Amino acid sequence: MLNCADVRDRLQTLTRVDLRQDDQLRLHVAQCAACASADRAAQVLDDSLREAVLRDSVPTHDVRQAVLRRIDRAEPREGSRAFILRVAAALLLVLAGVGTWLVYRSVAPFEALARRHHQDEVVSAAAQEWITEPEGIAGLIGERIDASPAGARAVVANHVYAGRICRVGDARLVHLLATDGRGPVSIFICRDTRRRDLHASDDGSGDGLHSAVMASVDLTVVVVGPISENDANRLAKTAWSALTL
Amino acid sequence: MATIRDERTTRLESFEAAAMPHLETLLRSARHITGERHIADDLVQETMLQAWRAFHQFQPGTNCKAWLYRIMLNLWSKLRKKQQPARYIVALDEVELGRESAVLTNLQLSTALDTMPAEQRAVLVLGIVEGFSCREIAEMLALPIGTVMSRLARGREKLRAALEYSSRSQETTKC
Repeated sequence: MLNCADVRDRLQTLTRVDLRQDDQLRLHVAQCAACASADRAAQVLDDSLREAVLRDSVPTHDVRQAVLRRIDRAEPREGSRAFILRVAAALLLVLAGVGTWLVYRSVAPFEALARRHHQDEVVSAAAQEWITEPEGIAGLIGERIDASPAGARAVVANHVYAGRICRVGDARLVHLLATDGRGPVSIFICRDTRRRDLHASDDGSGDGLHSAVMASVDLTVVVVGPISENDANRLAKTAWSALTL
Repeated sequence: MATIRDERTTRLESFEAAAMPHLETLLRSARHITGERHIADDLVQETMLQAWRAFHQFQPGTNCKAWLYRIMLNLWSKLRKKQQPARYIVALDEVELGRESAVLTNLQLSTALDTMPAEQRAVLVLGIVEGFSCREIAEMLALPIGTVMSRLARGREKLRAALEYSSRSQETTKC
């Protein structure tokens, strides 16, 4: 229960909104004539100040117009902000696309390049630096791939009739030619751990070629030729096994 | 582009309906709080512009007036850190002695208010004129609620003193 001192204190320190919601105070004021009088006096004081402040109307026209002008001037910024956001989103998409392409290019195109290389250098017979002696080819493999002589010879024995060092994309590798009856088959071998996540692909390019990839941590074998996918896989696996054993 | 235009028009209509009706109240309060008419006008313009820019954050159905006051008082607080505005003082010799006592009382109170420290003026205008609670004022001015209450009490004392002085002056004039 509030006493008179508490009520007088609240009448001084609280706003009218607070006082109206103060049930204890309202109860006391309803029962205490002195505090009711103090409450009325406080109310008169507040009302007087409110009346003093509100007595003059404040012209708003100029400020309103100024506000609307500034809002209007702010519009292009709103519009340009939306435009900038859209351009930024488009740029992000382009960057994401380029990034994805670069990642893809760093891995998958090796196989595609090998296919093109096979077309250009084997089918078109553009390359002139082929080694045809079996021992020379085995030496080339052993030297370049650091394979055992037995493994290199095993690869050459698998119908390989020519070999050379070539560049496919950013990789230097051994390029072997093997026969399969339907045309020359290219076997690309490289020591390149970045190629280990290549996957064999089927013939989707329309060039009549199939390609297959066998890759381990430090050795990649890509086979490209006018052969079936199974044969490409088998050949790649045979070469890869011979060199890694 | 048409969509952006439509969005802006809809937003402007909502803004005009929710915020613009409080323009006069804001202006009046700003003039008493800042004590300078041109500073008050600039302050309210800036308040409305900020409110427009942040209008997407305003929740329809909540207290727009309190939201606008929070923006305005925040701006005013920053403004005061840069410059101390001169007080707007109505000199008592401007008062025509033949006017009615009610007008004199209003002027006395208005003058008393305008000569108070800015912090006290703000609390009185928000609490007594605009009808905010102590808690709301404390939030708007980023003050402890106890500080708001004590400023309210001291402000009322000064107003009461101004009224008593006014009454005594009128009695003396009659004699």
